[in-house]
Amino acid sequence: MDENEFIELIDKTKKIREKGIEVTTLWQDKLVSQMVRVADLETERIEHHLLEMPLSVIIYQWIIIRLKTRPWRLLIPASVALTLILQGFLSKFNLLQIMVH
Amino acid sequence: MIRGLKSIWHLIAHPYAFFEEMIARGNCFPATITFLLALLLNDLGWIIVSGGKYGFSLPDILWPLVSYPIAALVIYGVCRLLISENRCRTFFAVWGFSYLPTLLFFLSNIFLHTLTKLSFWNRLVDQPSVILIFWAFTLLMLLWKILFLAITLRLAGNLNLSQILVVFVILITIMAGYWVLTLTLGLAKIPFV
Repeated sequence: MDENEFIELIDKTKKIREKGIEVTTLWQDKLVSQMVRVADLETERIEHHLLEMPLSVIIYQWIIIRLKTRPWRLLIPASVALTLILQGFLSKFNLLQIMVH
Repeated sequence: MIRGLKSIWHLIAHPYAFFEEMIARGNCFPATITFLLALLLNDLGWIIVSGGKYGFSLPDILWPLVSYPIAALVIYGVCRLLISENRCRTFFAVWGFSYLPTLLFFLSNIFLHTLTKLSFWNRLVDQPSVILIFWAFTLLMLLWKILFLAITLRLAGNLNLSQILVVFVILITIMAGYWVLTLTLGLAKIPFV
């Protein structure tokens, strides 16, 4: 599938939405898998089409894409953030020193 | 060797595509090898840290060894209850790769112990800042394993997002029960999964 076919797929999805038919998970997954393949072609054009979609769908698809290819781009910041949150929580209640000693 | 390293890189960089390929092949051998290597590193780490002073009892060896088939069967069973019609073999063909983070965790601990004489198996360190780095790394490995579980459920179990979340809740409950069991029986403080 090339970029034009991909954009056609997005348009088709959009038309289905406009008719009031819920786009199924299968459709979304197909869309995401195609996005991964063409993501490096012309990101700006893809982003332009993505902006027309609901925010929740965009966030969901963004996470899926990040996790499907080179997942460390999401996992490393997530683990650092979780550690800092955990550290902040434990420090607040003086639990860190208790755990260390 | 180079082919093996390329496969590992493919698994790290493109886990979804890698799992799809493995399911299409249906070969359980690479996944089993990954698990056995993780198990070997766990035992090796324990031997290095204890300086060979403490041996292994039969449950020490058997309990982690059965954890892979048990985990794969539990995941298969839960998916089967929900919707999945895939064969058990499909789950075995991919779940073993989730032991790659486990393997790297043990490998890094052996490396850490070689440098500092401290590791996961013995008392870690007294410096809270070093502990935080260790936590960040451990959390990274944990999140990576959760990602592999999610992909397993998506591809081997054919589940959608909401069903995956339901399975997560069920598996966490089972995992908690399993942990209590290993603690009660004195088999391990942290179960090998």
